Amino acid sequence: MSQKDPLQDLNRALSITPTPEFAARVRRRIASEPVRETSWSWLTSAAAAALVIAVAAATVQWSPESSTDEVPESVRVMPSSAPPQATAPVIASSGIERTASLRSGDRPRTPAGAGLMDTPAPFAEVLVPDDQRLALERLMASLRVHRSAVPKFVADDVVDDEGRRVPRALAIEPIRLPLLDGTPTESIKEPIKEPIK
Amino acid sequence: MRDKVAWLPATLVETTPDLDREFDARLADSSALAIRVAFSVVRNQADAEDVAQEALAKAHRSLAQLRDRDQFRAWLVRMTWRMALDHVRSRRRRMTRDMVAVPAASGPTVEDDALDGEQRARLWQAVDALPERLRLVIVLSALDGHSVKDVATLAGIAEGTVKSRLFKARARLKEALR
Repeated sequence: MSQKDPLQDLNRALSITPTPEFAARVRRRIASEPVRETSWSWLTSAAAAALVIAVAAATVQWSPESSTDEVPESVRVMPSSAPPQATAPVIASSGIERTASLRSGDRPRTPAGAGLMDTPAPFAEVLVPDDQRLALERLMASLRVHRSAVPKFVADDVVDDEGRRVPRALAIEPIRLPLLDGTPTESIKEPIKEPIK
Repeated sequence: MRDKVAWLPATLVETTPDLDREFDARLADSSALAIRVAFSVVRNQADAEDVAQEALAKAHRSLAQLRDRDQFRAWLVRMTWRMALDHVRSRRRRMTRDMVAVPAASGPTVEDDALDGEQRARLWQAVDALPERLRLVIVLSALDGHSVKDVATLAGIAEGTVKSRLFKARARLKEALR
C-alpha cells in the first residue's frame, strides 16, 4: 500500500466498472414505473380551490352583520325626560338623544351593507320614549288577540311661519284597553285624556 | 422550451423522446461514477449497482425539474451517496435484528489485485473512521482523477472547503495506515 498518498490506493480500490447489463437493468427499471399523467387535473383542482376560497372570502367580506353595537346616526332614541316631539312616524331625524332605557332587543336591525355604504334604512323605524313604551306594548298585545283596532293617524303637512311644509302633529286618540290577565296594575299611569298634539 | 419545462412539476410532464435521449446520454456518462460512489459506502458491487440503479431511476423521474442540467452529475453523486448511506444503515439494522454478523466486503475483483485483502480491509477501515464530510471529499478526489474544482462542483461546496477537508482527510488516512 502506498504510504505517501492514500488516494492512489483508494483510487485502485474504487476502480470498478459497471457490469455489461447494468444500463439495460436501469432502463427496465425505468420502464416498469407507472406512466405519469399529463392531465392538468392537479392544476384544475388547485384553481377550483383558489376560486372557492376567493368566493368564500368575498362572501364573508360582504355578508350582513347580524348584530351591531352601534346605532346608526340616523336612528336614535328620545330621552324619557324630554317632552315628546310631534313628528310623523318616519325615520327619526337627528337631534333625538339615546337613552339607557332602550333595550338591546329593541335595537333596530341594520340593513345589509348599511355600515359600509351608508344608505338609509329601507323601512321606517320609530322609536318611542320609555313612558310610552308600555302603552305600545299593551296595544301590540291586544292586537295579537284581535281585541283592538289600530287608531287612525292624521299626518298631513302644514305650512309653518317661515313658509316651510312640515308634517302636522299626530293626533293619537287615547286607547282604552281591557287589561289582560296577569297584567301588573301598579305600573299603569294615568290614562291620557287629551289627544297628544 | 427547456427552461419552461424546468420548473414544471414532474407529475405534469411525461417522458418525451428528447428527454429519453438526454437521459440515455447521461446514463452512459454517469453510470460508472454512480456505482463507484455507491461502492465506496456499501463495499459490494452488487449492492452498489442496486443503489446506483435506484438513484438513476430517481434522477430520471426528476430530470425535467432540474433547472441546470449541467449539475446533473453533482446531483446524482449527492443522491447516490445519501442512498448508499441509507442502504448501509438499513442493512446493519436488519443484521442486528436478525443477530447475524455484518458480511465483509465482496471478494477481490480484478482491479483489486494490487491490494491484498488485508490492505484493502485496513484502507476501508481507515476511510470508515473519517467523518462523513471528509469521507465524501476523499472518495470523490480519488475517483477518476477529479480536480479540486470537480470535487467542489460534485459535492456542492467551495473549493477552499474541498482543499481544507482533503488535507485533513489525507492526514488522518496516513496516520491510520502507518
